[in-house]
Amino acid sequence: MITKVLVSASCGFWDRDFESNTFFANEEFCDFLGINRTDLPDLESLETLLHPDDRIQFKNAIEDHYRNPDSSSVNLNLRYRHKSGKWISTYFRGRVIDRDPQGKPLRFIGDHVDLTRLTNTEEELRHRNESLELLSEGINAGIWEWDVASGKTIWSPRLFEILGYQPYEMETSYDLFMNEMIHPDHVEGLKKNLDDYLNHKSPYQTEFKCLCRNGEYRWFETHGAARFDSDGNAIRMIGSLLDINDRKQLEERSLRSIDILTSSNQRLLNFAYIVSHNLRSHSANMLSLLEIFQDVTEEQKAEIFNHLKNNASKLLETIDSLADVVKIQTELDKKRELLSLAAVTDRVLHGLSEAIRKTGIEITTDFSEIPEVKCIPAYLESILHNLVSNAIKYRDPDKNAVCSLVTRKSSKGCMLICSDNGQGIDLVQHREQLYGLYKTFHGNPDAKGVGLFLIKNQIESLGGTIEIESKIDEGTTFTITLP
Amino acid sequence: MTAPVHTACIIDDDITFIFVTNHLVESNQLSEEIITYKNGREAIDELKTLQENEERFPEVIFLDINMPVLDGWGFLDEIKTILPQSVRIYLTSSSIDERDLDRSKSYDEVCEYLVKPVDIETLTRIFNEA
Repeated sequence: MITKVLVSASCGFWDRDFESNTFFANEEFCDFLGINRTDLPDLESLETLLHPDDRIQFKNAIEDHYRNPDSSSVNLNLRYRHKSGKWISTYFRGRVIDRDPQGKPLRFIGDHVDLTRLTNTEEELRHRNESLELLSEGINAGIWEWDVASGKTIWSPRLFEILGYQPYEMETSYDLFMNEMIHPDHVEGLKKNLDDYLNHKSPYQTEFKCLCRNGEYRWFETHGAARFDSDGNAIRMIGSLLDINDRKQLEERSLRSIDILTSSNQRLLNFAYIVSHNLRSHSANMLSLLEIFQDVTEEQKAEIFNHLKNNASKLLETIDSLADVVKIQTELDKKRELLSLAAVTDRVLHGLSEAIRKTGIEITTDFSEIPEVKCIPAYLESILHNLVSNAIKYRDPDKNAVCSLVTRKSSKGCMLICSDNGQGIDLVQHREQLYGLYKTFHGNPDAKGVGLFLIKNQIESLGGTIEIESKIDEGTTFTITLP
Repeated sequence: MTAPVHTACIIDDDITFIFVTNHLVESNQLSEEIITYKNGREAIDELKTLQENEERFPEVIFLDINMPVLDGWGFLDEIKTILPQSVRIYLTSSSIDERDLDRSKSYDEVCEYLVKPVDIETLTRIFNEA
């Protein structure tokens, strides 16, 4: 009966009888060890199969137990070498079941329980834990754990550090994280992402801005996975938090670069379009004039000649204007200097003195708020020149023409405002075309259409903006903002 | 021999183009009369007046795309309502930009897109088609 009981729970036992000096190991034990019964004639032969580290322990334990009738049993973890060479783990329980009246052992039975699977699992777990720790160290992410029911969260030391805290500096929870740390703009998005995951729709991974200990918001990325119960509800969730602020800033810079490049490309395309159109029109004219030259009267020949001259000079003009436009790019490399607006304006007005005198236009300036601006000298001169000459060109002949130049401080930098009381531009009709090259609106033969285009490009190359307000018959105001 | 067309119209700000085309049309007797306007705004205003006075509307119109004040596209948008059915509009341009060519196709009133310079062969063909 003892045998039966032992067999049902064990992977093998052995039985030693001191009186007859016999040793018996059962079939199951021998199978467990991968050997035959005949390979185990005595206890010594079994001991050779023990792991060297366990042998002494075993011997001592057994001896102690023999000598001490009060000890209840021997309980040990023992490792044996299987016939195939692999190590197998057992839990050994042994007892002297019969002693003589002096306490000398007469019979000892030892039993084994197979631990191999258990030990392997333990080993695997330890290995996994180690891997996990190495992983979290290696990827530099913080690890968080969320108990859904209680709302409590556990953060790894690294997670505290990533957010600028000392490890375990404070209690953490789902509420703390959601309500006080995530940037308000991102809370909804994150909750939706989490919901979608918990409803098994999509993986949990999202980017968001989070408040750090120093009051700064930084970009983070989080991933996570949950364990669900049989109803599909999440019990707990574990995830990672990674600082992606640098990457995000790089992304944003790249997007801005792309924007700049795209608009630059657009300008280039427009430029190419304009080149082809204008150069072609003058050249085509000259060709067609030459074609009809033969069959005409002397009088007509003179007229043709005039037309030829006209087109030839227009061609040259076009090329010069285009050269100006190209120059914007090369000027951009020139250094920016701190320039006195009064000084540059004086120079510009001097250059336009003839036109100012003839038209009687009054130019007033007020640079008291911002007397100086950091800019490329050639650009500032070009901008002021174009603004003033536009005011002169489009003055209202029925009024006393006035143009004022003023600087004002703004949050974005320096505002240069030029207003006149001239003819004004119909912005409703022309706003889109305003800065296109060669678009003119008044049928004004002097309007070459290059001015606005040029200065817009110059202003934008400096990182500034230009805006226009205008009313027909009332006047026009240009507002230029330079950083 | 009578000309194939009675009244032709050139809407263009380029005086050389007007001069040359005028000369070619006259010397080849392609049209009895030629009227010219220097931009789309002037053309609309004058043509509307013509219509109201029930005067002769041009049968052929050479319309330049790039003009100040009101360009070719602007003219086409405005003229739609008053344009008599039989009038043939030829868009002219120094530009070989495909975007312009494509845009011209969206206007039913435009018969053809002509790239300047317009030579005598093309003019002869056009006036005889009208």
